[in-house]
Order: sequence, then structure tokens, then C-alpha cells
Amino acid sequence: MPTYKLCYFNIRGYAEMCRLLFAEAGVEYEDIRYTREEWPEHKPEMLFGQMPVLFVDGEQIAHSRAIVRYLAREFKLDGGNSLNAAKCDMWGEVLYEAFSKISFSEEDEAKKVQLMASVFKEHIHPKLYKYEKIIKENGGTYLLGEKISGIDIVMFSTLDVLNDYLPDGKILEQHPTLKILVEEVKKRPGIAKWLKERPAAEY
Amino acid sequence: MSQYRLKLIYFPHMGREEIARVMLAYAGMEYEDVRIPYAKWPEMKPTMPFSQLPVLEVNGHTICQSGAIVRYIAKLCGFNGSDFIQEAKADMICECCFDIMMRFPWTEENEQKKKEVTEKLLLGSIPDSLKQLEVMLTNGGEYFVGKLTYADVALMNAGQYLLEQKEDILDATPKLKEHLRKIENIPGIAKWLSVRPGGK
Repeated sequence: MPTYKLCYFNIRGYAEMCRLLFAEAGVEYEDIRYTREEWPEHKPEMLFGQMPVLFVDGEQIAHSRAIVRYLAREFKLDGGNSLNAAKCDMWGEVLYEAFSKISFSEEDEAKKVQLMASVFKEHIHPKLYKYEKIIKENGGTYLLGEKISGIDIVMFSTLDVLNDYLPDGKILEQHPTLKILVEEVKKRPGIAKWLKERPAAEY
Repeated sequence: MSQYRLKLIYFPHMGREEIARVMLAYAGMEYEDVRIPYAKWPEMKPTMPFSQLPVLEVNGHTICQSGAIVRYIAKLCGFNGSDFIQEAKADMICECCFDIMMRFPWTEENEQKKKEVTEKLLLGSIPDSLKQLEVMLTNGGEYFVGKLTYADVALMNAGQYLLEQKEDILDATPKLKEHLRKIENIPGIAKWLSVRPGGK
């Protein structure tokens, strides 16, 4: 087993889905969290000057979704064959694309609320309905069906980060099938343990 | 190879899908190369799983999202490295190439603003990213991860577009420029470049 070190800030953000994969697989790793003050001195160490970065026996893998895909493969959470891996990949990309339309940097509060509502209505909720359809078609609790894979954990992580961050944290009220998926992910032994023990973080 | 019935569906421009087409050409894999005229898209849109293109149909399954398609085709055609670490590095480098391309103001309607943003990119953040990619190439050896992977093809794809925008953009990263030409001249790839819609 390689030695793993994950470097990020002390937030959930884009690293939490990686941390949850480690938790699900029960694999140990060094969970490094740099403060904003510490970051400038470590920035030159990172291949692209950004985090998260996963060190695998000293080799760097940067880019959060490349890290997720690597860990899912390593921990056999990628659906077991190339086609399932491609489906998980696709669902991850669609999710990322939909949520990246949210503008966190808008300073005018009223405008921010309006933009947020618009992104949810036009991009996010329609995609979440499609995910629910996929889960039902595959006969599951999970996106691939009965067996959990990395994308279920990514889904949980994305919703988890947003639920605390958004003023009205009730994204899943319209999505009962996803609500079940989230509850099942939270019950997984490794994940339940991590959720209890993880450092508190703002978002 | 004949066990896969492949159909790539996209618009009539190159984009990221082109990375998949290059790999398929190199591997000699047959596929249906469907290009939807823009005017036909509104009626087709509801029939696609996530209402978007590109889409890959493989043996009755549908995969959307260009990144997912590229990564799957890479596995099929042997462009995904020899182990998980090589694959992850190729993934990371390809994502960097995607990031570079995503910075362009594709949806900006104001022509003047579009021009200004583009010029700023070509003089600033893009050359910086190219320098980082060149460091990665130096560490990788003959190819980005030691053997030909989709990272090299992604670099060629992005590099060709960048050169069209600014012909000297790769002059500050001569190794990267040389690498791009090397990939273009690989026989299986050079042949595709000479016949593909949209040209070289």
C-alpha cells in the first residue's frame, strides 16, 4: 500500500470527497490542512501552485477530480469495468458543471440570493431529477444500482458542503431518492466514523 | 476491437472530442462520427441523457461529458498509461489543458470585451500555465508520463488552438512546441490530421 498525503486548506471544499473515499476504503493517509498564513510558503511545492494535491509515495497528483478518479480506481470504487467507470466519470462531471455555475463571490446579498435561486432552478434541480431517474433505472439505492461507488460519495460530499453553506439548506426536499442515497452513504461504517471525528470546518 | 459499436456525436467543430477522435484513428478503431448541424440541436436536445453534447454511444450505453468520453476512449485505445499513477498523471495534465481552454471567453457576446479578455489571457495566465506544463514534460521524459498517453494528445489539441490565436505563444516553451510537433508527426496521428474535417 502506498503512503498517502493529502494537502488542502482547513475546509471541506474540493478535498472532502477525497477524504471520504479514504474513509470508505478504510485507508490511512496524512490529512494536511494549511492555514491561509502557511499557504504562501507551501505554494511553490505544489506542481500547479494549487491544492488539493495528493502525494502518493512522494509523487504528486493535482486536480481534485483527477485525484478522485485515481482513488476510486485504487479502492475499487469505480464500478469494476471501464464502462461503469465512464458512467461514474460522466455523472461526476455533470454534477461539477452544474454546481460550478453557483457564484460564491457575488457580494450584493440580494443579487446573490437571486442568482443562486436561478442556478438551482435552471441547472441543478433538473440534473438532480435525472440522477434520481438513473438510480431508479439501475434498481438501486446508488447510482450504479445496489453497490456503492465513488460517485455516490462525491454526490454526498457536494450536497454536504452546500447544505451548510447555503442560507436555505434544503436542497434535497424535492429529491427523495437522493435523500435516501445520502442517508445510506452516511451510515457506511468508515464514513460514519469520519463524520463524527472530522475537524470542524466552515464549508 | 469489433466488439465495440462506437458512435461519437458532436457539433461540427473540433473541441475536446477531437482528442478522442485522434486516439481512435491511431488505434484504427472504427466508429460512426456524427456531426449535428447547430440548427438541428434544439429538436435533438431532449433526447440526450443530460441534454448536452458531445455524447458517446457504446454498445447501447450512452456516455456524455467530453472528459469522461476522452478518458474512456483512452482506456479502449491504450492511451491511459501502464498503471494507475501514470493514468492519474495523464488525467491531471489533460485537466490542465482543459483548464487553459476553459479560460477563453467562449460565451462573451460583446466583441470588444471578448478581444480584450482573450489578449490578456494570451499574454498572461496562459503562458504561465504553459511553463508549468513544460516542467511536467521535462520530468516525464519522452512523453508527459513516460509513454504516449492522452495527456500528449490533449496538449497537441490545446496547443494547435493556441497557435491559431497567437502564432508565437509556444516560443517561450520550446520543449512543449517540439513535443506538439512530435505528436503531430506520429504516423497514425499525422494521417488523421491530414484527412479530418476542420483540417490540421
